[in-house]
Amino acid sequence: MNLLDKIKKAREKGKASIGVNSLNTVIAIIEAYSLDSNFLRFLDASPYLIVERKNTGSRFTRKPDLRIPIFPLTSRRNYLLAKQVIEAIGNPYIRFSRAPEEVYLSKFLYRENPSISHDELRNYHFEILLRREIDKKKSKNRFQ
Amino acid sequence: MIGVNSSPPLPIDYLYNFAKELFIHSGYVYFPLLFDPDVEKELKASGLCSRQHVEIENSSSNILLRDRESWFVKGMSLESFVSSYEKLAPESYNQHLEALYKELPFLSSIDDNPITDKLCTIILEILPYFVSKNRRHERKKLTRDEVLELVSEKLNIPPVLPEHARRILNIEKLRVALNSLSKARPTCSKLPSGIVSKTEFEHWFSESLKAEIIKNERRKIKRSIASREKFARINEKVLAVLFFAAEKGSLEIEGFGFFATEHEGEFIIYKRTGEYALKDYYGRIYMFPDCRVAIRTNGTLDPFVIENYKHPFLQKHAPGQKICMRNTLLPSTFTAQNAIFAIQEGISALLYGYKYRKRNGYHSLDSIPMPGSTVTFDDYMVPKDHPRILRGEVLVTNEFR
Repeated sequence: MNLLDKIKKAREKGKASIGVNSLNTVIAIIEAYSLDSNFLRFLDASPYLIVERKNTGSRFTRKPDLRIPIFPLTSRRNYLLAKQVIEAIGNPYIRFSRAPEEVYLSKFLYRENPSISHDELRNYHFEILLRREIDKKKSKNRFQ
Repeated sequence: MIGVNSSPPLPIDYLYNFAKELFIHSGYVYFPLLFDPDVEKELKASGLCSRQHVEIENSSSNILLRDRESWFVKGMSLESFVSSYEKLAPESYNQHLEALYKELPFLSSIDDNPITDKLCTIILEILPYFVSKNRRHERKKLTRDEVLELVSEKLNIPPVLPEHARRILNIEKLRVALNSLSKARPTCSKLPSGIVSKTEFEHWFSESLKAEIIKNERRKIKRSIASREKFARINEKVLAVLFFAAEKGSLEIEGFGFFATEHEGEFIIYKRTGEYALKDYYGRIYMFPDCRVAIRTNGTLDPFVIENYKHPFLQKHAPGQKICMRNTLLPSTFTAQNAIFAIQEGISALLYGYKYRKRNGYHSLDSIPMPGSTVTFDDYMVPKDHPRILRGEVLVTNEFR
């Protein structure tokens, strides 16, 4: 295949979008919060514990700001930890999380409602969304 | 240590700040390999991951090294890192230099020689050319020393070297400093091969940098001694002129002059054209005011006009414009010969370059404006029998073009 054919083929294929994926997000969170392997143990806890605990405080938790790099170069330790986290709780919502707590809640949020819009996931803390989903479920059960 | 300067950090800063430990091998520092899916894929494809041990060959060509579970990637040569640190992180280098000055106070008391090589070239070679050129009508051609004596007389420079100048030119003090510096040479340990902690590395680095700074200072002092020895052979009157010019930063004599620019040790050298007149296609005369044709000692030697000036060979009516030199190949390195050539070419272009038949240049002298041109020369027009032209005070320089 000559160069011209290669260029034509590449153009037909189209550009692959460089976006933020789950791995980039988890790596950024690990680096920002200096997480270690203890985080994997934390992922096993029940979500309701956190929701109950949070109920005592402010009702609205603000979504934290975190810049996710496009190219997630990191140390081998962080990289392996990020891969383990994704293996443990892999779901499409992880890439919208911005804090360790959100990574952890993403699994349960996805289980409760797998069709939440990207805009909501981007702008609201997962705790609020999860609480809403739980409330929705409760009211549904009450009416039934 | 690294990245102390305020400029954007080098990619190496990121690697360095990230690393807890470094690997030293064959005179190179290896940084921990950063991972992403592509790097992992490449590592797997290379088959290096499956090997129990990645051999550390006794060559400096290894790009990747593995020590147990840690991967390292080749960074840079330790030797070149130390020797180029002055350029890599100038602010940090200066901090180390100041620390050394505190330790060895005699270094900071060495006065810088204000007479640079460029200043010597200007005063000893370029100035005599232009000043003696103006006096060619005199029977005897002046020598370099005679020209400088003339400069000294005209500018009322005292022929005796001032006391502080004598102190600066004193070589003995420099020799003592050089000897003391030889005694202060630090013992620089070698960094062991294998994994080293960042603290170990920084300790080694500060020692090596100190040795490097001392080496640089020795070189600088030796250079100073050599340049001061050169002055010992120069006449005291000439030295007085050199010091006068170095301290004042500017000088002008018989239309030739120079002044210091914002860059240290650099100058703008100029020669005045004097008033001249140019003829247009219809034989009308335009009298041009005096201007300074100049060159810079740094960068290319393109002649330009310092004043707010207009001329067919200048694009606009503005200060600091480069003169259109068309096919003239101008030199780019600063030497006396090149500087004289560039200034003369610039003056020749203004005085003799305009051909009234061809109307060459950006603009035409005639009242017919060139397309897109806003520069006109009507205000320079004078009658043919202008008294100064008749008296020969102002010459029509393109008469025979």
